[in-house]
Amino acid sequence: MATSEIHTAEASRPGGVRSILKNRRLLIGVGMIGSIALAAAILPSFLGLDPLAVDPLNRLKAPSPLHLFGTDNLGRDLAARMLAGASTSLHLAAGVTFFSAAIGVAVGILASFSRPLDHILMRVCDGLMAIPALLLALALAATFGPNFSNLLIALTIVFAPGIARLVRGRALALRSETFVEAAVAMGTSNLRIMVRHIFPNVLSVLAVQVTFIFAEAIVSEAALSFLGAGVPPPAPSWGNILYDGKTVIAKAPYMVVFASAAIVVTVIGLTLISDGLRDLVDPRTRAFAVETGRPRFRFFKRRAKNGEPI
Amino acid sequence: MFYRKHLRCAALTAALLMPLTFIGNAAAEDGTLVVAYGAQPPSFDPHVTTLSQANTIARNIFETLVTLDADLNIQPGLAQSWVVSEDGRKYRFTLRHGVKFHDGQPLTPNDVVASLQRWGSSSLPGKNLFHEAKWSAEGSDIVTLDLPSPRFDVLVSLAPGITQSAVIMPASVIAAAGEKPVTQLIGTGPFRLIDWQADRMMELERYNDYTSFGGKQSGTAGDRTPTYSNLRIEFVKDEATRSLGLSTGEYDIANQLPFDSAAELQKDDTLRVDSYPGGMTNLGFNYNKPGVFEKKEARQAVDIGIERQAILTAAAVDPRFFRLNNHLMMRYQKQWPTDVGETEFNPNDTEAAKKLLQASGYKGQPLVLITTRDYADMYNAAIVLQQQLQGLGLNVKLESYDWSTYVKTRADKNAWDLVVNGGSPKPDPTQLIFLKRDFPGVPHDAALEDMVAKFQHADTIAKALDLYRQLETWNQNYVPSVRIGETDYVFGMSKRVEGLQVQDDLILWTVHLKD
Amino acid sequence: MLSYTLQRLGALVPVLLVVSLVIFSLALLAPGDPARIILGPEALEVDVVKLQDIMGLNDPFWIRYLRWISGVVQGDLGVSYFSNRSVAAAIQSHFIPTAQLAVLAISYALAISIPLGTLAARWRDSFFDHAIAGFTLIGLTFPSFVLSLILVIALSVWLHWLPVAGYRDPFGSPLVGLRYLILPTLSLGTIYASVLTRTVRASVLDVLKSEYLDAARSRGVKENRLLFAHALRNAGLPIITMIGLSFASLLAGAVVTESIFNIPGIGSLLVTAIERRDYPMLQGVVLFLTCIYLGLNVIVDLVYGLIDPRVRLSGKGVQ
Repeated sequence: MATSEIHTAEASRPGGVRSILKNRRLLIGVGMIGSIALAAAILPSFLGLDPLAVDPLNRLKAPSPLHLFGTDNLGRDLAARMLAGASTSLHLAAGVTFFSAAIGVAVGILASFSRPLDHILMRVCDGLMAIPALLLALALAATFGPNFSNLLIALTIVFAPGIARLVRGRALALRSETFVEAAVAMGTSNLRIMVRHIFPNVLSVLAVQVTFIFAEAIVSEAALSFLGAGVPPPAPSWGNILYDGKTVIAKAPYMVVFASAAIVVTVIGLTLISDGLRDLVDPRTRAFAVETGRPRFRFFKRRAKNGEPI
Repeated sequence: MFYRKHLRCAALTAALLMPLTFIGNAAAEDGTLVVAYGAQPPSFDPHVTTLSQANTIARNIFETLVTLDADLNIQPGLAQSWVVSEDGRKYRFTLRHGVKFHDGQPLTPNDVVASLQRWGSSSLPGKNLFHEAKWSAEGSDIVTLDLPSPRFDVLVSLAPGITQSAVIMPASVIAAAGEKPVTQLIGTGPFRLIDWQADRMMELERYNDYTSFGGKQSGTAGDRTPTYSNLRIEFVKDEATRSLGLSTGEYDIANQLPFDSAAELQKDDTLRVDSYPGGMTNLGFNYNKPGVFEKKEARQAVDIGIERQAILTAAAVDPRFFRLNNHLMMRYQKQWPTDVGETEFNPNDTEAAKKLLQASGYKGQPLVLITTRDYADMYNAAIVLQQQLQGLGLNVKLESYDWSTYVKTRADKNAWDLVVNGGSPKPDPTQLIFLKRDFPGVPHDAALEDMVAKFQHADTIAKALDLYRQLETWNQNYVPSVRIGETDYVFGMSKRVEGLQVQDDLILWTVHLKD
Repeated sequence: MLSYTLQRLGALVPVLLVVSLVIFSLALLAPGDPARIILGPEALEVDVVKLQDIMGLNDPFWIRYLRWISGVVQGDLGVSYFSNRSVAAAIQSHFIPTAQLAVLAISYALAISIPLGTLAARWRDSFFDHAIAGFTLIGLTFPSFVLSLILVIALSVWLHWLPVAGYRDPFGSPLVGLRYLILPTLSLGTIYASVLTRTVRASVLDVLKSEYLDAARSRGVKENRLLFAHALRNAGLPIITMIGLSFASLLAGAVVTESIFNIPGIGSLLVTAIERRDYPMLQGVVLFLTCIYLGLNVIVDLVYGLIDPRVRLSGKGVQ
């Protein structure tokens, strides 16, 4: 069993700074995502770009020195919208990742401590996970109404059950470990066991999982906005640019091309980070990631043979 | 063995896919006119739904007592003739002989009475004019109408309109539907519905027992017998797909094309592109919510501060497809005078607007402009408007919803301050939706209500025109909503299509197919 | 085996109950309702309320849930608010294009992945192997709707090879029908082609390392035959699993693809139902997709259990 090696929190972090610096994929991935985030944070105010300023008389102008990425169907500067879209997408994905991780960890650990609670919580998780994720996100987004925080809630509801399942599995395994059993025998309170012993040891599985969620959140936002149920327009987001671009795909294909490129580059960056993190967390799987035969991001959660999420 | 089968399958698929890319497109079918419309309307019951497309598609199936020719004069329809009493309160319609519904039942006065009573109690124009009217059947071919007071536009209201036409259905279908919308589409019209795949297409066939209205075809009047045998209406939600399907020859006619593709399609000399007046674009204020727009200065500030050309360019792209219009009625409705105020009103006076805003006491309170992306022209207009209003110093936030949420939000009087309304043209100004006191956000003004009440009793067109001028003056002084202009619907057709006429929408039975 | 099957199926009951509640409350909580949609843009509030009452839209939540769920239990999914069509009939007719698309996409994924994955394993760490790894990485990072749009621009808008969108029944006119399905198939299938290529490569590698292949080799079986006949066949289990799971997600993933290509499949049915707040249709379609999804999961489990008894035993302990 994999968990038998993990006795303390430290044991799950082999290497430290040096192995991080040697991990090329992690560094490249972080570099890619970091520069997108940096560009989104700095460039708009530096270049004086306004993603909302319309100019209908100059609509659908191809890329030029004045408008590096051209203008969209309302004459808005596409470069400005791409950068603002990056900010929207990254903020949303970060929020979704944080909240689903927080809720997932809390639910997962709680479930592992009480059988009745476990039954209830896991049935709810199973139910939510049984509905294909994109459909659930679509239905939730339509229900809550289009606005940024509602979208955040909707995607959190979609992604948290998966994390809860994963964490619960890990926590259950940890509970039978000797160091936890010892703590129980010494009369340590449940809360203390959860916080001091269980929580640090689920962080390693969590680290890899959250990069998936981050990438999935980026893609889900784009897909939902593309279907008209995501970030409410005219707020710029990559999905909204795709939505607008699709209607003028024959006249201004560059809109779709730029937005697609942004999404793909971000997902590649996140894939590299998650590959790198896995190496860091669990060096035995350093073998080329191809062999895991597993998609880096999915719209849909799959379950392994024993009902646990893969 | 598992793998061999799949390898073979792979080879087969590859072999199949290769030549497919070079096969020509589906050729047009003989005798069938294929028309692409947008998303299927949720209901085709013109008595119930206010959606114009539902009404204009349904007119291939359903008919009315009277019709309008190309010059908008009243002509006979299912009623062969009629007599009006001297006081203008009693109408006696004689029904055409031999008319049969598509299910084979003959048209009787009872069907007409049942239909028009239902229409009079559920549709907006029906309730407007006929809520106290009495319809009765006499003998085998007479229907009479008794009105409490005379009206100048009784017959026009019974003729085909852009929304909620007074169509005649069998009394049995109406009884079966009760107050719900009818789902059985049985009429007397030139086409009979033979296959309907919900949200995909409707297959219609020339009705062999059709009774012609006689005379030369003109507008919706005259002989409407189609010269081709089948009509297929395809519901294609995505507008880009409609325009591409037209250029690849899948559709003979594509309606409501994206404004952006018009120029592209026009370069193709196997196609013709044209347009017809669609509706008006207005900026509405919410009078049911207390706020800055209770002050006339604030409304005037918006009226003179915005730049309409840019708004309409965003909405309809090409000046061919939009017009400024400061009047209540559409420009093509020539019977209504345009001598009050300027037609192309667009001062775009930012400074004066800012002064007026200051005078109104506006202090930067947040305002919400609601819109929906499901109507692209309204949405694009709203985006430009929001930017312009912010430029005037109004703190406007744009909220965009899907259609369902939008209509719900609009009905919530506290949820919004501004709305971009696309109003459909109406036969008389009091039916305009942005003047209806029960419509969300519309002002309750004594002067307006007085004029509307007087209009109800206008028995001659001269009186009606006089009231219209008063209404126009009130509209331009009070600024109940900001008039921006009118936009068109663009349609395209292949060279195979000839003779197509338009009245509110395409009149599909006027087409001759050149094969 | 029977008890294991029953146990797996029994575990679905509470899940489906939760699913039905979630679906139902979501549908009802969504703003707007079918009455407003039917009445159109210029309807007055009085008429809306009247129609809502007639349609039973103002009844309490529990009454409506019980009315619906009791129908569902008896196999009746209800009738659409917008036509006289029963939900079951609508699902049936819209499922055909979706199933065609899913089958084509899976066939395409298999056609690509089995030869490529096997050869990548055969020539491990070669240039070919790395090229395949790169290809699958790209396949996995392109969301299917992004890929769709790129393919539309390249193959339809620029090269005019294929129709931009639309659907023709392939049973009516096979060549025209297939022609319309090429782009959707490519955009939907590529991600699964990548997943399957990785699975095939990994599974074949596992088998290649095993001892009995050495035995076969020593008997003088040729390397290529060894690879395709022995190795691939024994690597079948994980591949079948992946196919089953991919197929389930394909059906749901078709929502976006169908909406881009205007295919009248189950996805378009669902999107239209959401837009119009056609509750019976919306609930029926989501329930149907969820059941297929869960059903395929169970089948995959059972296939595993059939082949590997250890799964059956350990399966009991986990729940």
